[in-house]
Amino acid sequence: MCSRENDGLFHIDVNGHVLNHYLSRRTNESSILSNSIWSLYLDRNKRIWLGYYNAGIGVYDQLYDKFEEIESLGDNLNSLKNTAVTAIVEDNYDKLWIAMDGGGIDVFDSKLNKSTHISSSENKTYSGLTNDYIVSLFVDSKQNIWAGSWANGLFFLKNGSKNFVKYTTKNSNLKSNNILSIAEELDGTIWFASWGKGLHSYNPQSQKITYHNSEPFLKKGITNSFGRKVLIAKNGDLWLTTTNKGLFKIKKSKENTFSIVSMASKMYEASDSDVSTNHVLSLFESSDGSLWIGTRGSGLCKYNLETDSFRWYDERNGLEAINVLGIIEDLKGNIWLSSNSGISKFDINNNTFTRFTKNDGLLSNDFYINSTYRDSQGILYFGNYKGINYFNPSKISTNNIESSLYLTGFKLFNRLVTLNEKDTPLQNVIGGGVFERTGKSVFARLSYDYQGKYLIEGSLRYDTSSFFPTDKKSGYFPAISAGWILSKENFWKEDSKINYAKLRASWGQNGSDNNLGTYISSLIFQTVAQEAGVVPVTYQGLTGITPGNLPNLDLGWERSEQLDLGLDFRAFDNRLNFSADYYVKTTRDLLIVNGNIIAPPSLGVGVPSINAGTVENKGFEFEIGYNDTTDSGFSYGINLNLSTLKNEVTEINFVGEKGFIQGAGAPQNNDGITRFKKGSPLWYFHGYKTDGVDPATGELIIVDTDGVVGITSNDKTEIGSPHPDILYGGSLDFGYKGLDLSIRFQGTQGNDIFAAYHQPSRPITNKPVEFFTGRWQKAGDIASYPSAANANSTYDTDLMVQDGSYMRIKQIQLGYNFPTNVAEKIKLKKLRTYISLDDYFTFTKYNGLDPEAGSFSDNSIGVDRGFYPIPSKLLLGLSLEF
Amino acid sequence: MKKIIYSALAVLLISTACSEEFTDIAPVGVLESSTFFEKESNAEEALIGLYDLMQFNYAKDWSSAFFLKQIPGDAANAGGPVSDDQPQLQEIDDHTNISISNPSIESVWAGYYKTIALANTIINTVEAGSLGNKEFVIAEAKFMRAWCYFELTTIWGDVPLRLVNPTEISPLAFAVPKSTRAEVYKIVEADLTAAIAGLPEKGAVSHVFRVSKGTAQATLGKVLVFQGKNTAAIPLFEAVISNASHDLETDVADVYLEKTEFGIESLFELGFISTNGVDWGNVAWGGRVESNLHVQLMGPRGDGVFDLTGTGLINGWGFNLPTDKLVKAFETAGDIKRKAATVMTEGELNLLGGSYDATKNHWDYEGAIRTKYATSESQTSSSGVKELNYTTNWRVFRYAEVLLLAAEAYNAEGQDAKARVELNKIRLRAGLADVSATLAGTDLFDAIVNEKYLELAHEGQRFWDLVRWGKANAELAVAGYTSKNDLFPIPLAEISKNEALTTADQNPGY
Repeated sequence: MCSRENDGLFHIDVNGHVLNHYLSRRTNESSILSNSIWSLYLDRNKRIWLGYYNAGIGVYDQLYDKFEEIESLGDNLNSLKNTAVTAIVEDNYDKLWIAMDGGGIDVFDSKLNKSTHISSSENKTYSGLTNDYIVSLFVDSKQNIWAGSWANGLFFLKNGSKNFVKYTTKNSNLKSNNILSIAEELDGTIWFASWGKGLHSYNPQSQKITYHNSEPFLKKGITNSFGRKVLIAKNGDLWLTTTNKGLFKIKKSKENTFSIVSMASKMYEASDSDVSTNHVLSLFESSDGSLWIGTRGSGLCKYNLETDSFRWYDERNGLEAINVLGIIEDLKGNIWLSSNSGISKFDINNNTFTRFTKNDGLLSNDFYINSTYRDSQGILYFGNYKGINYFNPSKISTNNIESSLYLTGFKLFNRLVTLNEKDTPLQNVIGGGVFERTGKSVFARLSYDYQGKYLIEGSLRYDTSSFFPTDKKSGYFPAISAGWILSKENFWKEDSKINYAKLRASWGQNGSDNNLGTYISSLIFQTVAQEAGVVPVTYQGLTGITPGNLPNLDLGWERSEQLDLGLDFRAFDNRLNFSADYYVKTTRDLLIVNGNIIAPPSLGVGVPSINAGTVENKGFEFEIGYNDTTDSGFSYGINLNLSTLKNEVTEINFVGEKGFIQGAGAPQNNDGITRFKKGSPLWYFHGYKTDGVDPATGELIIVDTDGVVGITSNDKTEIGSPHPDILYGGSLDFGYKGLDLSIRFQGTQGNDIFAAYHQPSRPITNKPVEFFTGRWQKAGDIASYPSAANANSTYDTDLMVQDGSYMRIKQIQLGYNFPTNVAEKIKLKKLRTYISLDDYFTFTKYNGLDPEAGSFSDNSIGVDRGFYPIPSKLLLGLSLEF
Repeated sequence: MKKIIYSALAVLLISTACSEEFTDIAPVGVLESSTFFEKESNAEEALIGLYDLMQFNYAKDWSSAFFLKQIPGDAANAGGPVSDDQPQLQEIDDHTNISISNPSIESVWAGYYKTIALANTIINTVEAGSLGNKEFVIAEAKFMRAWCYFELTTIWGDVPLRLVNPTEISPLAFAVPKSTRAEVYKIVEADLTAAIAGLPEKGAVSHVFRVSKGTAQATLGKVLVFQGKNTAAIPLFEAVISNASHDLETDVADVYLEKTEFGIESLFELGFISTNGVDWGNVAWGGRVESNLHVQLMGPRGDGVFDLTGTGLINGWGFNLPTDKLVKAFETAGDIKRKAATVMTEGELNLLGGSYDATKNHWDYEGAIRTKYATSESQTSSSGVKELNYTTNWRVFRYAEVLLLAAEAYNAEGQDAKARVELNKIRLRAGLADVSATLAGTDLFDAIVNEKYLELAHEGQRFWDLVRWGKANAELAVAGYTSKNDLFPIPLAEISKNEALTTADQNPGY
């Protein structure tokens, strides 16, 4: 390195050849600041420090710049046309195809280091790309190029051709001109995700585009969904992410019919926090067969196809990005994510996230959705709003030696401020919310099938989690199931009305370490306390400490055990189907995260997570259906299901046989409103029993239940259970010629709801009218609610508990498909009209807003916090297919 | 022909890098107890933790020990805009229907025990080690433990006595039966004796806020007086009184202001500062806040109720209002200076240019607002929101109380001349004439009682004195008091979760 007055910086090799000559460029903030460099210094960490004349100092950190980039430079024709890179693909001829929002397509030949621009104005090399807003790109197996545009349909460049063919809603079956993602099925079918119209596909044989609006697509709402990414999994399944209806799994049968599963609610249930699963942006299938799902707002979710289970990643696991915009895997199996806040690497081996930002040399922190690519060399490409960053993931190194920064003084308003002084803003703090989790699993499965008659399967999991004490970290979770298909036995008469019969039995265990935090094996001290958030422990400007929780050496896996005995029948040529099950689900060592709920207030020390007890759910499940079509063309189907439930806490730890654990709270309820107690339903409702209103005074009459004269909190008792005795549902479908009618309903029987939406400290708020019309007004009134002056006394009594049983007709739909000849007369393929009543009829005695819209977090099942109710809808529809 | 099909046998091992230690993770950002007490500076930090817990328990928003001890007395009303705002405080003021699950009572109970648990950890661990500052650390921790147990037994009577923390999680390890008040006093006396031996003199403490030998002597004297052991108490009071580092502030108007904090009259004071300039957005409500939020809760109600023009006061939320009885007691005594430092009548408010809007029907308002520990503009910080940054310290034990306790002890032992000397020091500072040189016996006792009512109004002493003197019924029956109110109820959660207790352990009448 050699520097000169007014002549910049020279990089010279040992033989005296100039490798590089660096000059100051005003348009480039990364160039040297001044061409006059008076001193140079190499520090121990390989950083080069430059002392400028009159321009301060500069530093070059060779470990800083980890990423290569392709930029759009105004003065360089051979750079990107435009900065917003929406997609990157590579063809078999070593050409990178780069789509830009507003810049058309650039073809970058890495061998010649040369760019060819394709756009509405640059059409010499390639013609026909009449739109510059290209948002998706795809090279199919025949090396054809597909480009999806925003608002201008789809462009197709046949292998070898120089002319793009355009498909739009005008000249094809496309229903949307916004094509955001493209994928190819094994049979060569090309799939398109569109914005607003769900999925389309292209058949290479017939060269026709199909809009997918058949029954399953219509039912799941895909036909008008905002598709963002379509992906073909290795097993051939189709996956679609949408930004309004979440993720869908689409299975195609050999007969070209589809079955579709919506994953949004399963994803929601798998999370312990209030995630949004409707807005799914990115999707990727990694080499180990997992699907990685990127959401807007809720981080990353991994779906294990094998076990049908989800795992969420958010800031608690170290993922700093809440919007996951692009996902890709490197050759070592690590997952790379792009976001609005840089790129994150997820190390598959130690489950850690590392984030890279502009401070590591990225062009921008803001990446374009699904603009990711891995080339044959394993180089990863990410398109962002400033160009492209690409890098070899195995060569990313970080500078682990942090520069020591010494503060020699700190001035506030030009006055020196020091530690340990009254009124000082400087405080020492140790502690915080850092925690780490690790786990491992081993899984084995063995299936045996004898002549298709006897089926047996066994599996064993061995799970280990860092959340438990050393000798409790691991658990074995076995499962076994057996089936006997009676109808395949020789003794089964061929002409029997019952054409299928099966007996089933299964038993299995599952482990859970849900929601726990780091396991701490001894008493620890911190300089932050957890009261009302994390607050430093200080007094008069001095730092103090506070002790952590007691260690729970006995903490172990929560274990769910399920026994199921069942039989299946099908009769009359499968027209009738019937199945019945008896199940017992026992959850042992139920985990409760905050163990303080078992501590007497005088304990003075914190209690960590505990295994609280055992809960048993058991009952019967029945399903029956009859579906047929008569010779005259009348089709009908009746399908009903019903299950019974008995829920009971059968064991309680720590608080004694007769003890209880307090659950959910509500205003004006010092003792909590739900409880966990042996012999009672899980998180039953707790409060005073009442016996009407005193006609003389207008006060509530509280029932004395504890045998001690006088009413105290001890008289509170079990006043309801949130668990239904019976759950049921069903559907009725009729069709004749073009006419069809379907009715769907569901309901529960025997569950209670605790109306906790009242705000006692604000007496003038909306309430059910019964509070007003039923209140005591004058001496002698036989009233169901107390006088206005005593209204607050109702909030911890059974007046808040109501029967939550309901039956709701989810949908009644009457539709008519016009005969094909009628439709064809007006140049339509299909014409359908329908009227639908959704959630229109509800039969319930509950006087809150909605018996279905309660809250469902673990200890407040059936507690109505006043969530927005499900709206009733009347829909009139006309569906035209061109 | 039989055909046997085996299918799918899979063993999957994730990550060959899994070592035994892979799932053993050391906690981050914490200090291990096994080595924590090997450093003198760490032991000092643990003591700061004790002060922080005391500060927390005496000023925790709606559940402070400071306010809870005042409400049952006849100087303070719960207050608030309407009759059912903060019902858990109103029911204590009304004496009837105090719930056994009153959340403020449970919070203060738990706050004392939390402080005790940390003191236990310090005492037991440091005692087993050999730190250079061992004697001092144990002495200060024992003072805090004694203070908390004295408060607990005064408020709740017989209470669980925990001197060692549990090391395992089981109902058995958590269960501790109640000890009698006498047993609790025994531990309190032993701890305070150790504190007297190990604490430095007031002039020699390392930080002004720390308790001194004098604090421990005075506290032990108070504990003895509460048990009627007046003879034993007198030498302790005399030691404090004869020590020149203790005296009364000259001006009674200055006693509660920032300028006299940790001053000559202070024996034990909980300090509040305003370093962070908290505002409505970042205040850790219910948390360990360094400024004194409680002053705001107790300020004259805003919302158009009080116009405070000319008073130098800022509107607050209207709790802790003085009773008419207290105002009358000042007026009967001809006590002008001290009255002005304690209360302000509506007439006085009007004279300054302020006013009260009677149409607002302010709950519990009996014609006066409080000036002691008031929402003074001069006592808050200019950074942050004024309402949330009061730096007012709670004087939880001050020299004036020692003089009155000494007077009481002398009087009880028939040394009325000495009693009058101590009583007159208080009266002189208040600008009142000496009591008659012939005042003696029960008449003198009554004068001490009245003097203490006026001097320590709104400081949380009155009710507990009335109870031990057997005067609660005479003074408070009109306010709903019955003998069951002598003690607060043991929190329901304690009885239900502490297996050594049954409902029979609840205090009488609850």
